Amino acid sequence: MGRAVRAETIVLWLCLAVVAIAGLAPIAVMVFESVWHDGHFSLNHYRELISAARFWPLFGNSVRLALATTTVCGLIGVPAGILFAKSDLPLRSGLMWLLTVPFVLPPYFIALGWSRVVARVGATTAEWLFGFGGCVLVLSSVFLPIIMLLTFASVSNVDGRLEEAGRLAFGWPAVLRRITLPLSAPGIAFSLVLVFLLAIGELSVPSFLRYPVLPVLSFTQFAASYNFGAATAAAVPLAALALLGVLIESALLQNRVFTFRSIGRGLLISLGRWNPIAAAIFGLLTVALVIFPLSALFADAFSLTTLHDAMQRAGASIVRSVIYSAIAATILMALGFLLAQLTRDRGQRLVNFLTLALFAIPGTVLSIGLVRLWNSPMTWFIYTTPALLILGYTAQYCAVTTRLSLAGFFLIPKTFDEAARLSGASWTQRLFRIFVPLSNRTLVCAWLAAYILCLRDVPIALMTASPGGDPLPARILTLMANGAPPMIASLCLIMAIASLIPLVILARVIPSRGITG
Amino acid sequence: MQSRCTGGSPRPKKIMRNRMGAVVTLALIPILTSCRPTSSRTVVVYVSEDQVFSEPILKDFERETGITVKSVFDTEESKSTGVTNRLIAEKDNPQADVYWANEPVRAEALKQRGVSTPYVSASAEGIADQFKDPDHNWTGFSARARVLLINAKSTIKPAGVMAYTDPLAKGRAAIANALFGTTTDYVAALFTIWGDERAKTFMNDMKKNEVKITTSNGESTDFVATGQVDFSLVDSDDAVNTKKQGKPVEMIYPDQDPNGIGVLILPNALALIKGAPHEENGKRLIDYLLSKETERKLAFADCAQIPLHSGVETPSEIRRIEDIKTMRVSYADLARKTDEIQPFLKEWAGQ
Repeated sequence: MGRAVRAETIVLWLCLAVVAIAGLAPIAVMVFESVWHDGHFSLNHYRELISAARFWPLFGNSVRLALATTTVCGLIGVPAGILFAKSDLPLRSGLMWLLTVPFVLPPYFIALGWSRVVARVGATTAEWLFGFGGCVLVLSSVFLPIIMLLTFASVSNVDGRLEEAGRLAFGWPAVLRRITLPLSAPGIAFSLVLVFLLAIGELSVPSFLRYPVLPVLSFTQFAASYNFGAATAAAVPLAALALLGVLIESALLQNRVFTFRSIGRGLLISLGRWNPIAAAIFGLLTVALVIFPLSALFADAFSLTTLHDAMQRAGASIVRSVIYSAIAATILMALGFLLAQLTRDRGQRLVNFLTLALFAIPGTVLSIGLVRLWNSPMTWFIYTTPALLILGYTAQYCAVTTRLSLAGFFLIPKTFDEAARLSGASWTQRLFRIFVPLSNRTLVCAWLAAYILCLRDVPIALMTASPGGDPLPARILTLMANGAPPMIASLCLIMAIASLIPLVILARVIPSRGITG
Repeated sequence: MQSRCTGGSPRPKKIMRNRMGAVVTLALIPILTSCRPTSSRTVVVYVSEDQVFSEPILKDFERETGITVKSVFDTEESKSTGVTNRLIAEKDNPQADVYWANEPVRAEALKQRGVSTPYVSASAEGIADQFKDPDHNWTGFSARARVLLINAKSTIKPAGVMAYTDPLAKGRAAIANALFGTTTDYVAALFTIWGDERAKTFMNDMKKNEVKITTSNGESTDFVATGQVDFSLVDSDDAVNTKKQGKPVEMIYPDQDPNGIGVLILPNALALIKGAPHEENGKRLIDYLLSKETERKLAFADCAQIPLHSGVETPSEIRRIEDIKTMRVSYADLARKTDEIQPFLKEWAGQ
């Protein structure tokens, strides 16, 4: 028993060491730079930041944008996730995967697609797109899948027996309100926090659509002043908002006991005469949020000549992107799974905050920190290889796989673990014979989420890829400046396909019951 | 499910071990296949010039010399923070040999931070001193000009930058965000030539005249081409490219009258990195890029850049450098002025 505890502790510390090496240490380097000025401790960068006339308006704009995006995504994504999981809506599987497509591309590309749509429609629409409304539209279409898929997964995993028992006394709306939604709250709350953080940290879309937001302060300090300390100081409020997100989420879910076990279909929402109306609404939504921008983005992509040209210009980058993202996703899946398993009973809030703070910190700040930390003759094997890029991905996205794994653990009855423990099974045995086999689908989900996030990442790819080793999104972005539009369209299409192939696999692996079985 | 939990057969274990082995091997592939770029046949270049224009030139260098070029490209267009920051962050253990900047103010910023080192290339002979760093930390070549792009149907025909404050142009002109890129350089040049007070008045008058502030020169170009505004200051490569695409635009070199301030010329700039791992190859690349042949290629490419050597063949739409009245400014002064006016520009741009 003593040996088992030691193994558990060692693995926990190893996992924390990976998070520290990949993310906390580079951020610490940058934070140090922000408070160490001319050989002494100084909070000048922070004072200047807070006292700058533009700080609070930009902060307000960012919060407004993030709240609006989260609200829109929540209002559409939660009902969509519930209906796709629990109703008899026709074509629900196809609609769900179509609505997921914008998420697999960097948000900047979707904004570009929308700008082409409005260029065809006319200047009046352009005025609306370029501003707050346009930002909310683009970011909502990009981040909607997060809430939709996590809601889908959460409600799918509610114990069907509870819902069935509820149905004996109530109609489906009451069961949904009193059983399904409260039990799905952790997954839904986490998806809302994720979208809020992603929206508040987003720079490329608001910049493109001319809506000033807080991350522009950090960007300006980097791009116009080359002032790393001030740039880091400007990014700290984003980490503070991550803490706030964790606290709000914890407060919302305090003292709640969740029992999950996916048995049977449970609740079935029969839409009856509302069925065609609901199908039409979701069909229109898919056309508006997916078909319009993507058809404009991919309009010139379908010629063999341009596809050939695109492959010639970026073939190696495509292979690199897929390999690096797959490796990072594998590491992230394992790390998230172990962190979630080891902090299931204690330390969860701290791990949540640390990983979400890394998630909220702009990729550029993290990347410069990684450069500062690892660029030395002793560590060339990290710095001059894709290992640096993979470290960056690991730091930025471990929050996602950790939380997905944690949600998966709720589905495994504690009695299994307790019985194995009583019969003398070591932690390693319990891990590999109970948790891993029962978390197969959770692991697949976590891997896919991490793969897509890594594949579409731009800031880390641009700043940490080794010379001559750029991944696809970085290459598309650098080719966009004066590059031929058909070739760019083809590259975007190739990138979407590279992301969607695993999603198609996901669609086959995960039947309508959800992420665990 | 039960059998999977309690399954004591060795088969799953073996599969698990095999899978773990495969994962570990996969993870090691990029590390094992990458090696430290110390090969004598390699040069590492960080590039701010648009990839579509710079990459073919670098490929030609590879073909002609047999030296492998490893590049890191950058883009301002989508608000990345770019290779300049990476070069500064790598200062203590440089990875790059050469920096190919798309304008000299970035190269000057690196010089001021001790990132670059002097190098006098024989290929630079014939390029006017105005386009070289006096300390030889960078050398300019193939240039862009800050030109006025005008919609062909516009009734406003500006001849110079003062058109921005003309009441006739109220709400009908655009300019890219002055905090970034070549627009910052242009504004810094106005501050240098006119002095702070006059330049600030001009900038504020321009804003009062409801100028549209765009995110990039590319967007300004689109605004003019689609008639959303009548004119905008843009880079000459954007202007020539738009004309080539058959869009209804005209390009003029502003302020060419005898009393005019002239056109701001922004050459590409090459800097050798201090402590470059492949210094000799870096010098060979700089020599190659500064050659007349490279300038000819960049003149005939879609970027339509202006050669700084005399006697280089150019397409008809490009004016020769000796036929343009240029702003007489020092790029070192521009770099210093850029830092100095940052607070004003942030306030002006609302950031």
